[in-house]
Amino acid sequence: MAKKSFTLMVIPDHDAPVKRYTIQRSFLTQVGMGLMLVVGLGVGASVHYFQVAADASENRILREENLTLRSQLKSVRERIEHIGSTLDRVERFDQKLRAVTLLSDPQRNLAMGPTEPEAGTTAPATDTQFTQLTSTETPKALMGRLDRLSAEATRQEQSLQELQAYFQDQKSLLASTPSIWPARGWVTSDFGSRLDPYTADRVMHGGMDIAAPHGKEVYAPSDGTVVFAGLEGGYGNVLVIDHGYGIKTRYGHLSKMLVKAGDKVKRGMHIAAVGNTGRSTGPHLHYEVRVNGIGQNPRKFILEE
Amino acid sequence: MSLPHPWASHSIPGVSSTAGQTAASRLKIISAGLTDVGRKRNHNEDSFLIDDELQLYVVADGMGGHAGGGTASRIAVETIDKEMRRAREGKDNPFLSVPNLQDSPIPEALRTAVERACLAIFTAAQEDARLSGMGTTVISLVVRDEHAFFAHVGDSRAYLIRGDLIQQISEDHSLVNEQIKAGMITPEEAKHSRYKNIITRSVGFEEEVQVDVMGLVSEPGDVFLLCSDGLANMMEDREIHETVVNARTFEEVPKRLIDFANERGGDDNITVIVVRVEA
Repeated sequence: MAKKSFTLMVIPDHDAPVKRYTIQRSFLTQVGMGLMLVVGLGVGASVHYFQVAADASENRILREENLTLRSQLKSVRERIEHIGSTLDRVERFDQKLRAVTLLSDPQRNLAMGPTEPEAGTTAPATDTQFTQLTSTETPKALMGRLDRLSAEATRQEQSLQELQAYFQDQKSLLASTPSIWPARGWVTSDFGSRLDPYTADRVMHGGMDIAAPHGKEVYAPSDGTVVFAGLEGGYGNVLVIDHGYGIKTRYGHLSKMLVKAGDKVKRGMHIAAVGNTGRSTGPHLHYEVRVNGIGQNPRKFILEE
Repeated sequence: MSLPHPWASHSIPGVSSTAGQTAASRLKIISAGLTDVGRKRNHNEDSFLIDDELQLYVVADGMGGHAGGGTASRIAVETIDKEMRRAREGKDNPFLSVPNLQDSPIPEALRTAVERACLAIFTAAQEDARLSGMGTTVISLVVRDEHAFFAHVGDSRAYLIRGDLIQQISEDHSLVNEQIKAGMITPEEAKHSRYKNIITRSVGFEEEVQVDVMGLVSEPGDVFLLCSDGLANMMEDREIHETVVNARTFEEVPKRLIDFANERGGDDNITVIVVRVEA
């Protein structure tokens, strides 16, 4: 079998022996294949390199975008919480208005999901992009909450529209409802059964005691006519205001009375000063609300927080 | 209209109009009072007192037995007058002028006088079996300077009439008023209640009684009206106000109110005293 081979001769210019190299053909083939493999690998590597480089630059953009989205999500969550607490306040206000108007609301009896922020959702997110989701709240849960909030808001809207329609007919009743605190101070004894401070017997306390310094201003909680201003047994100096619609308020233990029977008063008017007259153990205002002669819890009527 | 009941003889029957006499009183007072048996009863158990010298006015509505009611109300007005006069002569004269309403000793003097009346009636009832169980309501008024004081037991009433306002000063010690306060009945239902003549406190039924006292600063033109339930049950507050305001003369006010109550049926004895504070 003929040997397939090449002879490579190297002939120097000077008088040096000619060098001859005999190369097998198969060897050449091997070398050629090896070269091709190397080139192929090089091309592949460079292609991969460029791909990775491209990914890296895209990753930077994504990272920034991710951070932005994360902070947006955080602010959305905060806003939802804010809306939730606002709706809560609106609902409490709505309930008070209803107590005042004695309007019933059958829908209120339906159970509603919590609108308060759940534990953990308010933890502040750190600023690295590798942070795990800091809250247990996934966007999916947020969506659920949003749905609940929007249902609640819709119901509030209906409720308030109904109230507004009612109040349009009842402007003067609203002005007559004792809806603000008559004095600023500590409530030391609420409406209801309590131990008598003199005899320690359990007795019904027909009003609310607001402890305040001697001379502290007492304000009319709504419009009305003063029907009594004077001394009355254990009440000491007492003012009685008739607000119409069967509503009367009484203010006991006053040190000073600035209005007299027959005077008209407006909501917020300074009418008297806190004192310690009558059957009293220290300066305070004894405040009563009576509807058709029946003592009611004054808190039911106060709309202020 | 019948004559004033003989038991009221101690008090001044008919119309009385006297200016306040005491030098310390800056405001002049005029008063008028009248009592009537009404249309349904055959004797009058009410008594009243007009003492313009003390500026003390009392209406008492007696109850219990054939003779008891009139006796109890008569003892009440007599004892209160006597006790107030005695207090004035004593060393702690409550009639001395004080600047502040709450510093005045008059409410306590008035309370003491009603308590003494209670004991006097109770003692009299113990001594005479025919009078057993008698008692009376008391509504009393003392006007002193610009202050007016009330002592009150039972369902006789004191009203203040000032301009457009008529206000009941006393709170009835009656079963229906307790029911109203407890939310069991409405004031409208109370007017037609079978139990509206039941009182929860009375002077002389027991040895002691809890007396409500009130006081207020009066204004020129104020009218104080004391009456028994014979008037209050027959007329709305608004009607009383209109009658007082529209009367031609102040002296005829009691007569006009009594006539009004009699036209409505005169279910009970009717007694009215009106006292006006002049400028």
